[in-house]
Amino acid sequence: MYLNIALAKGRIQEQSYAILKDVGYECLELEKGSRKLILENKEKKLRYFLVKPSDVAIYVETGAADLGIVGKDILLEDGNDVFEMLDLGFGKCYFAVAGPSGFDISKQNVIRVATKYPNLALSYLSQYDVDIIKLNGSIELAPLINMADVILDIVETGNTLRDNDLVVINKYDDISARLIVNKASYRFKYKQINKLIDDIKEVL
Amino acid sequence: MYQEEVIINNLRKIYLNYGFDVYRVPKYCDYHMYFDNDSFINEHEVIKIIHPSGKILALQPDITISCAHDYLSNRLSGNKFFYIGNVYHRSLKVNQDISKIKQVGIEIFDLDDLNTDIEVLLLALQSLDLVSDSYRLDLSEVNFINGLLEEYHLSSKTLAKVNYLISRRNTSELEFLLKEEQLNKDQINELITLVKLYGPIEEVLAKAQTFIKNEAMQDSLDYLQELYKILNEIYPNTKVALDFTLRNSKDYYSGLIFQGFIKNINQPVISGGRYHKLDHLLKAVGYCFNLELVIKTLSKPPLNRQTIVLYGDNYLEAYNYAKHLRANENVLLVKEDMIKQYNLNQFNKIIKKGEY
Repeated sequence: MYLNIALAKGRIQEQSYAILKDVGYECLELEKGSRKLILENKEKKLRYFLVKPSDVAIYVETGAADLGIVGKDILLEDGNDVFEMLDLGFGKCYFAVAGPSGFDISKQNVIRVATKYPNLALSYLSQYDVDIIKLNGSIELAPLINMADVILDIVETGNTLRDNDLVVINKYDDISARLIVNKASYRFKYKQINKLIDDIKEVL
Repeated sequence: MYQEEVIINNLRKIYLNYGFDVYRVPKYCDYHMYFDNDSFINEHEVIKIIHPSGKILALQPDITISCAHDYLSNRLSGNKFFYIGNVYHRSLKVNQDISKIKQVGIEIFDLDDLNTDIEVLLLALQSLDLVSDSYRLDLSEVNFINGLLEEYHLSSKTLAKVNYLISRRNTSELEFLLKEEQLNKDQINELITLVKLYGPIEEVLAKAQTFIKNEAMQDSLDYLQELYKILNEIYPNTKVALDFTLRNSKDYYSGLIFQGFIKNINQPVISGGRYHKLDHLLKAVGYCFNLELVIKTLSKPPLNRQTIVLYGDNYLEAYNYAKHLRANENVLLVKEDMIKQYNLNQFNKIIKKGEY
């Protein structure tokens, strides 16, 4: 029985794969940097899917993948119904509302918030009247050109904010990479999945 | 006949066979009646309708509550019921469309004993056996973990968080939270070990013995042991697992709780358990079988194939011939010049005009 694993392309892909490789879940096809989206290790019955970070949890929730590695930011935003079995401890950052220095969010009638995380923006800023502007990237640009007052985004080092003259106004949840598991897959493959998790803990 | 109907018929047969009465599912229920109860359906998912009388109604969101309400208002006789009906929810995802979900389920009222719980599990297992060879029935008794959590004296807010994290098997955050709550290492390890325990019921029961801290936990485990002993005797089955992470966020279930999973279906197809809180008056146990999920995933339904009898001008002759065939098979009468409209691969055989 194959084990299907969804990996997020980009920011956390390398670290995610490095850990899996460390515990014997290697996949040469993946290391070769192929453009394929499905990569297999036939001998070990592993199948990797390389998907957009915001889609990893959906692949796992629907059972297309048995497990996946995804940022906690996505899980918080989408509220996916999955087992969240391990905090992998890398990809650390936090949610923050940021804006031009001196901007006082408590003194606005309506706050225009640019973000990739509309659900969280509404929940974090629930005491304010907010206008959400959903963007898919380059969020920091929005306040610079007066498209939004503030942004809600993940902050890793704060360099991007500084380079664009933005400051953190409020900090919210901490984020790191999580190993998530499909709830039905767990029932049928729990021995293999539990072993994988124990092995990963050893190498973390 | 389509697979869906075959499954429904077989389920109906089982429930009637065990003496259950049919509950006819109303299409609406009173919106306020619905929300005065501890339902586990999100309020935003319920489809509201304003009746010309001004009353706010809900398009059937949860058959259990309807059935319990009708039982409590003495509109039903007996106390074992099964239903086959639709519930309607507004999807909270993307298109917010209304989804209709076909459910089959059972409810038993005012019978609060081990044998009743066993009968419910027995029916759940038989229902799963009808639709799949690879399934798991996971069960638990909520007072085992509740008993342990009582020892920790957590605030209700923390308790809600703890329950949520348990249900997601999120041991990383659970550990962090319990450390913040100043619990000692042993206490944290206990809970985390229990969350990680999963497997065949006998195996897990044996391991769980060492965690008993109080009477509630002892009673809970005794109950599970007795339950499984009898269940296994009357319906030997290796697909029953014990899973202490089965929880419900709103304290809906008060004792036995269980979920059935079928391989390659990503959500539980059966969810059920014992609940006492509904209307604060009622002791009940039951489950609901999400037929919609099963049908979607099963391979395409095989048609119970038909025979085509073609006719020209003499309909009566064809009718009489078909009538004779119909004793043993399904026959579709088709006028010769209409045959092009049919996909002939779907039929068993075609009998032409001169052949009868």
